[in-house]
Amino acid sequence: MIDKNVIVEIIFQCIEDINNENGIDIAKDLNTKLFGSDSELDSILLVNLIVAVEENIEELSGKYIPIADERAFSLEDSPFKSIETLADYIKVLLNE
Amino acid sequence: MNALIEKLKEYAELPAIIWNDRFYSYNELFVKCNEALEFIQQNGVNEGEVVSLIGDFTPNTIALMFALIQNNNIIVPFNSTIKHSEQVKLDIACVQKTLLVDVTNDNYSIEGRDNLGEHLLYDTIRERKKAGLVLFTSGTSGNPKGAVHDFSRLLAKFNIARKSMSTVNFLLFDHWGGLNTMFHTLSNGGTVLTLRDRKPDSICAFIEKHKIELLPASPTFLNLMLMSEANKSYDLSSLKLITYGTEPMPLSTLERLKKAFPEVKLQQTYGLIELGVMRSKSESDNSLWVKVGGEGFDTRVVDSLLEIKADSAMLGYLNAPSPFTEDGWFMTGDEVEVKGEYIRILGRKSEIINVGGEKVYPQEVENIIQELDNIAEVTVFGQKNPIMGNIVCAKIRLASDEEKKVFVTRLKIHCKEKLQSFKIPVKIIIEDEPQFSERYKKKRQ
Repeated sequence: MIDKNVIVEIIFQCIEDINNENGIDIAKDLNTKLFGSDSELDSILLVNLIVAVEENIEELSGKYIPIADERAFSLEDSPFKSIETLADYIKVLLNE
Repeated sequence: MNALIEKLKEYAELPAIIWNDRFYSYNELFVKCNEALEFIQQNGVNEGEVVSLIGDFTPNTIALMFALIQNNNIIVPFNSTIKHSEQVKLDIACVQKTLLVDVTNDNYSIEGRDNLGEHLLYDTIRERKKAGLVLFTSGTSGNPKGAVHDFSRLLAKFNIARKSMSTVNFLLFDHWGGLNTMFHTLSNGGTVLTLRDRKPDSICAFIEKHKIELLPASPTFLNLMLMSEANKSYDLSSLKLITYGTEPMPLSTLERLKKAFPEVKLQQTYGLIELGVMRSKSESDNSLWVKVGGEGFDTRVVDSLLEIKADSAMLGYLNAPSPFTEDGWFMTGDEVEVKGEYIRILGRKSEIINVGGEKVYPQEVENIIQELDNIAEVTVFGQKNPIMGNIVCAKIRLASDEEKKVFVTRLKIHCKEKLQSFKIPVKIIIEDEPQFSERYKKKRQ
């Protein structure tokens, strides 16, 4: 069982990598908005973040879990609102 | 064809072939051609029949090729190591008889096949009383497509005498590139120099030993040669010309090649299985801008796609729809940029990655990645993605071990300086697997 804190740490680590690679400074904060008009990430950065998180989760859990698929986008409460909602969503996926 | 045979007689005692470290004169080749013709006729190979020829650039394979042309057969060439996956080509081409050359001793034999050799395109060739040639293109979908040629059209250009340089037969026997080199050499009194092994080290040793002047190669091979530094271990001062084709050349490889061979002329060739090889002129040695065409070829660009009209164009595919426009232009599927008389090939239209409506040419991204240190090979491709439609992925073989994270950061920072963000690979896969085929051509997915 992977703990939510571990997932959050993975997301933070991926954000740090993206910051380093792009010379930007996205806050490693549970409330950081990932998607939508007030997000600091454009769609390319979001894709990069999601792919990086998927890879890291796979490394840790041994299974590939698609985070951004049709289901994620059809949810009324988007999992991409913030880092916290994303971590919660991944936890749900991991428990399935 | 008779003109070619006449030429063999004319060149008499000149060396025609070096095979297994032995010279064969034009006279010897001429005798072998006659023996081969006698052999096929005695074994009931009738005019117009479809015959596969499995061999390599050995004296007898070449002699059998000439004999089959003289006998007006439809020839389907294969490399001696015909793979299981290639067997299907024998059926696609409706092969009736197979000539098999044992490339260890150059002996040959014939086998019948249960096929009638019927196809509408073959009828055209038979009516013309000419020889035919069937060449296979791998096709992007992976299904081989058989291109049917009137062989006499392809051979017409060899009637004009040109200078022959001593050339390595680097390109393989079953493709027009390899056959083109062979016919060019023999019709101009040169020597066909055959290789058994196409590794960079072996080729460089061969160039040194035989004082080779012309190396026709693929960009993938040239890149591997530079990477391995094989060129530094041998005296390659005899080289005058390196030609490259069969796939797009990365600019970084071209620049490294120019640095390694400052005295050698570098020239891009543009050949297609469906059309033959065109004469081409690079704008300069380190430029990818090229003028293609020459006698017998016309080019035009329609919606950024290159179209070519060629005297030597194939009649059609055996097993695929016609790639010609109604007015007879061949649609290459290559997207090009135009600058005056010059074009620059951007890549296959089918390989373009569409990222959120923006076009990404794998070649452009590969060029940028190739500029980094420690890259042996890179292949860029697209992968479906629910957010952007597709994302750019890069499969990389490193020259020596490097921690993935360190490498990925290095790659992304470099790409960010040179490419728009949607072109930067999102997914980076590091693999030890070589990414090239036996033809030293990049294997695209």
